[in-house]
Formats: sequence, C-alpha cells, structure tokens
Amino acid sequence: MNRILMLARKEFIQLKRDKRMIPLVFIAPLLQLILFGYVVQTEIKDIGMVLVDGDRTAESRVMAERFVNTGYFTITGRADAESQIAGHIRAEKATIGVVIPEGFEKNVRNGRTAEVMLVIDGSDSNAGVQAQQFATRIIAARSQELMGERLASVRAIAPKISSVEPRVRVWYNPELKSVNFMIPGLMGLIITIITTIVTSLAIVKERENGTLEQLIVTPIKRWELISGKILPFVVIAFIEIGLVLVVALGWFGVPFRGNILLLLALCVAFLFTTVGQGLFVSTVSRTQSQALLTAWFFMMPAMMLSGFIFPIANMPAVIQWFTYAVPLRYFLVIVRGIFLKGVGMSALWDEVLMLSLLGILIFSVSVLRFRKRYR
Amino acid sequence: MKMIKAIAAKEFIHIIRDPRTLGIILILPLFQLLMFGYALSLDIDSIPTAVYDRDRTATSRKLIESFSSSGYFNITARPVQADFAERLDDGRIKVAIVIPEGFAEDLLSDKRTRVQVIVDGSDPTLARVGVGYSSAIIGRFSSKATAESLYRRGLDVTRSAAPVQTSSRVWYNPELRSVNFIVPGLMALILMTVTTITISLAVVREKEKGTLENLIISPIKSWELILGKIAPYVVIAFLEALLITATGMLWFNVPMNGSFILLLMSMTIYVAGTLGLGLVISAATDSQQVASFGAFMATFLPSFLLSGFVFPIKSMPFVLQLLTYIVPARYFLVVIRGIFLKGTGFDILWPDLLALVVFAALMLTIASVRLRRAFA
Repeated sequence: MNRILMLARKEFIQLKRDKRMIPLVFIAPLLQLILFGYVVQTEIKDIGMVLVDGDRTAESRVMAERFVNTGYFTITGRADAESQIAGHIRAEKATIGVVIPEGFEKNVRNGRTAEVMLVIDGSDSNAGVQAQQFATRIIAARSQELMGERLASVRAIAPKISSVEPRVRVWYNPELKSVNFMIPGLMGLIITIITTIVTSLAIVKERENGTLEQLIVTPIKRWELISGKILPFVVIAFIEIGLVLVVALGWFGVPFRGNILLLLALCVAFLFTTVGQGLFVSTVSRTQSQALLTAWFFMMPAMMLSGFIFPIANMPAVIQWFTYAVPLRYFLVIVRGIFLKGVGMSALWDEVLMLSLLGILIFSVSVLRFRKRYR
Repeated sequence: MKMIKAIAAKEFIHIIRDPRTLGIILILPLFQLLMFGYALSLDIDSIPTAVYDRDRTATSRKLIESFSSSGYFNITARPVQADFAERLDDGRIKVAIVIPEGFAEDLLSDKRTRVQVIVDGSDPTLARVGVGYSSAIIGRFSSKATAESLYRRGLDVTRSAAPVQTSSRVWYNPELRSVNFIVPGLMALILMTVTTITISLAVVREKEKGTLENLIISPIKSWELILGKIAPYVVIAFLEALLITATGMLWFNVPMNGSFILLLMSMTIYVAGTLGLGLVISAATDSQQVASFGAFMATFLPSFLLSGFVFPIKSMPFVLQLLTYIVPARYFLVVIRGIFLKGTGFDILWPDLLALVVFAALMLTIASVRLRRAFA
C-alpha cells in the first residue's frame, strides 16, 4: 500500500512539473462544459425566409405574419416570382421560400382548399427538416383556425360535433432544454478523455524516457505499479466529476433528482472501463503520438456511438450492435436517468450489469497484457 | 529549391519508416468516415412507443394503426395496465399513448374526447419529433372524425375540408438525407484533425530528439525548412482528401454537383491553413504530449462544435457566434457543401475562400516567424 502511495505521489509530482499539462487537464473540461452547455443544441432559430406573396390580400398578409410571429422565421427577402427564390437560397440568404399564390383569399373564403407552397433548401438536412416541420405546423394551425370559423356557422345548428383533442405532456424535462440532456452526458465524456488519453500518455511517456524499465526492475509488484500509476488519474477524474456537478447544478440549473451516492458508485464502475482502455492503449503503443492516435480510436466511437448526441435508435442495425460494446452507452443511460428521472437501481440494473461486465473484461485483459509485456 | 526537396525527401523517409503511423493516417479517417457516415444521423424515426388502449375497439385500433404506419413511432409495448411510468423511467419507451375508455362511443355519439400522450423529454431532439408528430396524427384523425360526424347529421361535409394546404418541395437534397449533410462536413473535420495533429507531432518529435537544431544550424532558410516539412503532408492530405471524396460519392452517393477543380483548389487552401496551424502549435510546445493535446483542442473541438458541422451557428449565444468567425472549418463547410450539394461556383463562394486564404497566409507566416525566433 505504501508503495502504491509513493508511486502515486511521484506521478502527481511529474504532472505538476509539466506546467502545461495541468491547465489542459482542468481548463479543457471547463471549456467543454461551457461549449456543450451553450452550443450543442440542434434547434434552429431565425430561419431565413423569402416571401413570395402573389395574392396581396388581407388573408395572405395574415398568413405571412403567422410565420414571423412564431419566432422561428425571419423574412430576409421578398420576391415577385417563385423563380427568384433560387437566387436567395444559393446565396445562403434564405433556407425556405414561402409562396402564397394568387387567389389564396378567394379559395379560403369560398370553402375551397387554398395552397401555400414551400421551397426548402435541403443541403442542411437538419435545418431543412425543421423549417419544413415548423412551416407545416404554422400553416396547419392557421388552417385549423379558418376551419373553426367555417364550422362556427354549422355549430349554430348542431352544437355537438365529435373531435379528438391531443393532450401532450412532456416528462422529466418539460421545457425541452438541451443543457439538461448534454451536461450530465458530458460527465461521461470528460471521464473518458481524462482517464483513457491522459493515462495512456503518461505511461507511454515513461516508456519513451526509459524510466518505466527502471521501475520494473525495482521490487515493486506489477499490480502495485499499475495501481500507483492509475490512482492519480482516478483522483483527478473524481475532482472533475465534482466540478461538472457544481457547474451543472449551480450554473446551468440542471435538475438532480436521484441519489448522488449511487451516481458516484457507478462512476467507479465506469472508471474501470476507461482506465482499462488507457492501459490497453499504453500496451500497444510505442510512442506518445501512436498512443494518442490509438486513444483517439477509442474516443471517437465513444462519443459518436454512445448516444451522447446522436440517438442510437436511428443507427443502422449493424452499427447498433457496435454500440453495445461502448461502455459510455450504458453510463449515459445511468447518469441521465439519475439526474433527470431520479431513478434507482431497479430501473438501471441491466445497464449496471453490462457496465460491470465490460469493466471486468476490459480491465483484466489490459492488466494481463501489461504484465506480459513487462515480465 | 534543392533544399526544400531534400527536406521533403527526408520527411518522406521518416514517414515511410513508421508504416504504422502512415497506416493510421490513411486508414483511420476512412474508417471514421464509414462509421460516422452511417451513425451520425439526426433523422428521427421509430421512436419506441407504448400504447395503453383502454378502449379496445376498432376505432381505437385505427388510431394506433395511424401511429405505427407513420413510421415515426414503433409500438413496442401494449401494456394492459397503467405501468407506462416504469417503462419511461427505465428508458424502454420514449412515448406513451393512452386512449381513454369510451373513446369510440364518444366519437359515435358526437362528443369530444381526448387522447393522452406522454413524451420523455430528457432527449429534446427526440421529444420534439414525438410531440410534433403525435399532435399532427391525432389532429388528422380528429378532422376525419369531424367529417364523419357532420355526414351522419346530413350537414355539408365539404365544409370540413382543410381551408389551407401545404405543398412542399425540397431542393438539393430532396429526401432530406442527413448523410448528404454530414459526409461533406466529416471531410472538413477529418482533414483538419489528421493534418494538424500529424505535422505538429512530427516537428515536436524532432524537437524532442534535438534533430531540429541540426537543421536550424545548417544554411537552410526557415521558410525553406517549413515548405520542405509541409510538402509531404500536403501530398498525404491530398491523397486522403481524394480517398474521402471518392468514398463519399461512391459509397454514400453524396451528389457532386459542382466543379471538381474548385473543390481540389479549396481543399488545398484549407489544408495549407491546417498544416500552418499544426506548425504554430509545434512552435509553441516542447513535448509530444502537450502538442497532441493542443492540436486536439485547437482542431477537433472548434471544428466539431463551432463550425456549423451539426449545430446551427444561428442558435448559439452571440459571443460564441463571434468566436465562430475564427474557426476555419466554418468557411470550408460552406464551400464544400456548396460545391457538393448546390453546385455553387466561385461567384458565390469567394468570400469564404478568401477567408481561408487569409487563414492559411496568417498561419504560415506566424509559423515561419515563430520557428525562426525559437532557434535564433
């Protein structure tokens, strides 16, 4: 035990001496918190819109106003003909063109069906989908309103007409705030970066300098060596978990509804997988640049295939299988569940089981490889 | 010129001697492109949904059918009791639909009725789709019910036709496939990270070994040294760009509507800038560990988050929007997406290309000055 502590102390001193490492280890996560807290949202505001009002009546103006009033669209240009829309879209000035054709008001008033035409720039598929959804919803809402006016005359005769009212309620995050989704997830990402990348770099650095061999010829046992090397980064990881918690609750106002002890306990389970990856990377790399690229190889999938931003359910089946091997996938369900839903072990047991299995597997394979290399 | 060639030849030998790194440089990006081209989709469909049907009539089944046939909802559970709260808690379902008892009877007897929809809001993107489409589906079902109700009473059914209808056309990417949007973006991201990281590591490695000093005291000029160092990586970056472009077009069927020459030209400008950035990083750092971290921080994060790669710039807070102007990927994304999807040319893209030229010139100048000063 004493030896482990000595090694850990040595590691801390080395970290402290590398003046640029400490800011990177602590400033990078803070920066990520700010970026992910403010940047990562896919909702689009102020969509640029070209209006072609071929009708120029009271009714068509009401329709156009509805687009602006919702706050989703900003009119960036007006055109006289549909053919002019292309110019605005190609020059990136507008994402959507809205055409209200001549005769719009007449059709609406005479009980016929009038048409509003949308021309959408699909090159940014995300913006395109949202523009289409918002526009369709705005037009449908106006249509419903006009329908109400039409039916009002009927209702005078028949007061009862059947209809279905949707009552939609959103649980856990009623305002649909992106931060509530991103910030808890970020905890998993930061742990992965710190423990996988920094651990592997620290070990490979010693190998490059030849000091690892010196440690190995001392009477220190392999497991003591490994624990001593890992311990400082686990401590740092926990400091950062605390940091994320403080910023999440204090600054971003993310609700925390679950049990904090459960969360910390499960962080330990997750750490086994990430530290194991770091150890593994260090056994297969000779230089720091190789270690970084290989760690990268673990990090990118962790980020992209974990459901951190992109929903797993949308991925093709083959890629979904891959996601089962990504530990972060399970940790994200756990951390988001504890934060937002306040769930306990009963709802999380299958994720906890998978995470523990992966942790034992990755960690023991890495330790075995590490020991074999330094026999 | 001979000097530059000699340095370039030396650098090539270094690269070839380390085939593993070369392999990683060429294969890893391809792997990433393939993986993420498939994985990074923001299109949401098949939301796991539970239906608690308390009515169990033909009418309620019809409503459920319109949910499942829409493609947005995948009905994975039909509980017989109200335990959907647990299912939402453990994440097995994201949407729960509750159809009340007497649903069909109410509609037949010309009454108003309600359908309850509960959406898991913890993932806002998914929740937005769930809220939007469930309201739309119920709305459509409702207007059909209204029409039937009017018909039963012998009233004018045409009055129930929608007063305003939408018809939409989507240009450049008619199916709104997010692959067409993501793959060109990935090109920008991958090109930048790989080139910046590899060149900064290559220079810092020489610094660490002390071989850079040998070069500095030789009669070589610093700009010659820089050009010679960069040249092999330009070649590699070019190969990589071609590889990625070919994969995007042939494998993912991303349409290429613009000029190929303009594409290659802008890629060259972009890569010159990213390599310059790599040199600046290597001039400021002494260890590979710090250089790699610095390169990661300077390339991946801003290019991923602040470039408009997936997260719309317009939705960011004002200060961060200002910050995006110094992210080169921001400009390159406009260029590459414009060329690929819209077939836009120089007449529209010149401001963004100009920004890239400025970035490249700035980076290469700073690198040249700083490297010279470091060894003066």
